[in-house]
Amino acid sequence: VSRPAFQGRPAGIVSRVLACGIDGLVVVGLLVLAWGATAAFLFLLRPASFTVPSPSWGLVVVAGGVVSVVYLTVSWATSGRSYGDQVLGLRVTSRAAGRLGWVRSAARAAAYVAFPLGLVWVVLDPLNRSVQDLVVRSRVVYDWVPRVPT
Amino acid sequence: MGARTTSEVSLPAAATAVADAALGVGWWATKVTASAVSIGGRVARPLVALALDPPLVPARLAPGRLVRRVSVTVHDERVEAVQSFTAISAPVTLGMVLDRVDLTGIADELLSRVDLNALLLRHVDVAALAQAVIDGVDLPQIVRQASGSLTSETVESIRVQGIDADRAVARLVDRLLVRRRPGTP
Repeated sequence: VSRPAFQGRPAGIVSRVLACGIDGLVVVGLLVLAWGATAAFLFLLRPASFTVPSPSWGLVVVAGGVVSVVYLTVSWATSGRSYGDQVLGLRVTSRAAGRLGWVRSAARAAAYVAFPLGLVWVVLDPLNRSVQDLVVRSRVVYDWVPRVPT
Repeated sequence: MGARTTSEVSLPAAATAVADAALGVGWWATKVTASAVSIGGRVARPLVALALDPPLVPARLAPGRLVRRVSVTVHDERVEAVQSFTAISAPVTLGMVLDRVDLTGIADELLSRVDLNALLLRHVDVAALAQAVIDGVDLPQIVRQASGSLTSETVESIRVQGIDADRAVARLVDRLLVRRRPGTP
């Protein structure tokens, strides 16, 4: 991948929303996988009395939240990219353009899951920072070059 | 049985005698002619030599020299002349022949009467041929290159469109808020 002229500049709202949408699809896929695995496990456990599990909406929301926080935390703390960030060529870094770390990644992920509308602040902030970025002192930049920040 | 009279000679015997006489006359005439030619040649040779290289005539003006020069010229230039003639005439002749022949029609007629599939299956190891072709083509590499290029181009297109949309939104918001971004003139 060549290094574009906008490498390292703050990412805008559209790219970040698209990345969040892709990450949402990833989370839905993970939930479906978990549901299928649970059904298979229940079938193997009691084949005679097996019925397809039908979780409540509350359980789905909670499970979705937990999976989202874990998925985003691991992605940002390790490579700085979730799958959506990878597709859109974005990277989450600290203010010093370094790796965000596990604690701040977890806090940022929890903040996004609890208050997704904080992303809208990107439109108003001159440096394209969301509410979560302001809270955990992170930034999201265009980064098409496949590397892991140190 | 007594001796036969002349009138009793059979017809085949008479024909044989006539043929023998004719051949004898012909053979004699040939020998005489050959002797005459041989004698004539022996007699004429000094005369011809004298005519070709007459005495008291300079060598460069002797008729024999002219005859020898013509012979040598023909001998030397004959091969080249034949080659030139062949080069000129052969393509024209071939072209004329091909113009007059309906090659497509002949090929159609031949192919309509020949079961090419049966011939092919009988004489060609199609499986081995296909295997050789497959072995010669690195199909997985081609598929990888094609899909990799397609994926890369698709992702790059999405990213570029995202950035363009980001800039458009930023410009719109900046205009609404009447502000300038840091770093912009």
